[in-house]
Amino acid sequence: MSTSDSKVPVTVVTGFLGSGKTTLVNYILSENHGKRIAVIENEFGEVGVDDALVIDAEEEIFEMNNGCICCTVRGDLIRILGTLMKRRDRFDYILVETTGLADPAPVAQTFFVDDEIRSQLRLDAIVTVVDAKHLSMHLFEEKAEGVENEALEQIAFADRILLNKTDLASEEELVEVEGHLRSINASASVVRTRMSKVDLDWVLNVGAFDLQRVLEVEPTFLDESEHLHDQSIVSVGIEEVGQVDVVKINDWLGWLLGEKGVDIFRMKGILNVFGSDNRFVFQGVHMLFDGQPDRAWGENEDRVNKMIFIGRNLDRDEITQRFRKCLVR
Amino acid sequence: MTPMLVTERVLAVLPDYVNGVDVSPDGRHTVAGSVSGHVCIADVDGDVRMFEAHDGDVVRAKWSHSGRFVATCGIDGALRIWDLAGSLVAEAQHRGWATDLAWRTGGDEVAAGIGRRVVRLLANGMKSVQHEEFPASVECVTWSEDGRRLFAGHYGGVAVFQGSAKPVKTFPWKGAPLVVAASSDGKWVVTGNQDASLHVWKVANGSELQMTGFSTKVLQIAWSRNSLRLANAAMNEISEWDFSGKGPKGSKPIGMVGHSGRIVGLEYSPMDHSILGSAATDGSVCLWHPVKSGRSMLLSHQTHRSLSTMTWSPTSLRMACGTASGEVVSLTFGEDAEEQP
Repeated sequence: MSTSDSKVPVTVVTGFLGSGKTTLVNYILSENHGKRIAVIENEFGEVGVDDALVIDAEEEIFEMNNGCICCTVRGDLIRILGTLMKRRDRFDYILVETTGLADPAPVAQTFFVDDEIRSQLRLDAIVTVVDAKHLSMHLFEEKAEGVENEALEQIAFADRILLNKTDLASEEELVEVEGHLRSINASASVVRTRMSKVDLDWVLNVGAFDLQRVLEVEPTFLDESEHLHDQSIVSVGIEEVGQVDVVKINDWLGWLLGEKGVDIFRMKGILNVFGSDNRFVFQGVHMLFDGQPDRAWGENEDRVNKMIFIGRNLDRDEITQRFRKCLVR
Repeated sequence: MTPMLVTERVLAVLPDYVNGVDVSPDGRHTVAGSVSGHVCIADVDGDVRMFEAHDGDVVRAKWSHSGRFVATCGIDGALRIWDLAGSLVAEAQHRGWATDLAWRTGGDEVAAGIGRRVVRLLANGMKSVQHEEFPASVECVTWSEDGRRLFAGHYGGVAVFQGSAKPVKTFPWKGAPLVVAASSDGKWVVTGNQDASLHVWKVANGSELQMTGFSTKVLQIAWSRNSLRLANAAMNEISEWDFSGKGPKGSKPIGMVGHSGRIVGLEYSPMDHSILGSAATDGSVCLWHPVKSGRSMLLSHQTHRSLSTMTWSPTSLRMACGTASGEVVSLTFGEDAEEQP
């Protein structure tokens, strides 16, 4: 079977309409003639590079109910990725550009739920492009009840955020927007860009879903007071010294996925398990959870439990209090 | 069981991955389509005609029951009918990718799922019935053996057509079917699904059964000719369900494991209905005689090729397989093997 090295990486590019997603995709294609890149896009005729294979997709969402795990996947992506993997001139890289209004969850979950895709491809990272000048407007846009704010969700899902069009915003505005981004998603790294020009190593082959590289980016934990007024999506970070009881932590994770799985967009963490000299690492998207024992703790390494949960209506105190009950006293 | 001889012969080589293969009703011709867009028709004497049939992947290539035509469909959204010489006879087009096609018995008519629509085409070029679009893409189509009913699977269930443009029945189900097959007695229709399950409906009253717990999505299903047994494959495992009497409710299937790769073809032999054939990506081909106790495997043969699809010849114990690198391979078993040139 395929090893992780032979899997083709896939970067998902999201961002609101007019933020510069297509400019980023075009920039990657034009900078990267050594790689055979296939682009799957949801909006017609925007990518304009001749030597790349560009396939149009029409968003088709399948709800899946597998026992107690509910999730959504993208039927159109399953078809397209299946076809790409059959070609003799296989690709070194796949870019998926979503529409400005797309929910990133079904895109991400497709890579974990479909076994054929999972065995041949790996989701590398979700890269979100935001418009520095207009982000605040999108974030605070009044939505009817039950209607999602896609701009918020795209930020919440991101591993990398391009704060784009910085030339159109003042330094003050930029600092303010960066504060918003951090309070929504404390684990993504943010870079300021113009015309979506960014170091390609920063957006490609990031390994954001790779368990060995979980929490490579140190989350910036914030005080409660720093959160935006009325903001429904937040990052909850937990950083606690001590060892966790393996049975209790299992129950805690079960509670978290069962009760909060719908609301948690992304989670990542490292645990210090009682009786084990190895780190336990995990990551997840909604109810899809992936965890395993990792390398041994270093001799001089602080054995600290570190986790981050990004989601909607998360009660920081409840999650933290319940976690503390898992610590071995 | 005495060991069977296996004769292996490459009939043709396509430029890339073979997506669909089929043998003509007289057993003399094999058609195959590739992701390169090419289709080839190879006859038993070694003559091969290859032509460009679609812009992009050919998804399916199948013989008409009359043996006069071949139908192909592709990700270019086209459904095309060809004669044996490879000349285009008829075509239809719809927005989206084609996913599946099936010939109707009794009459040179083909139905295909293209985008969100079932497109029907006659070999004389007429579109027989114009169906409306579904809310989701059509993933699979099949006819009942008597040719009266057409089944179309899509996210959300299975629609049953009978003559008119609107479905006469729908079997709603919140799931994504990938393959559909109707039993030849017309009693049952079954889908293999994205969520690693089988879903079975009794056509008469719509009562349903669900088989779950497979290791992967179910892409292979096959009915035995007498409608008493249903086989399915998920990853490298085959299960056979007993549909005699009241059906399989509450029963356990016969499990068969002989492949180490993903199973890409599963069919009962039309020559000997007790034999189930299977082929997998690891190059292995197996023949089974499913039994509850003891060994079900009759034969395991290693082709050393990454197989991509398989079907039986209707006239002999011979399989046609496609490979990931474009070969179309013929495998003849047992006494028939010696008859090969």
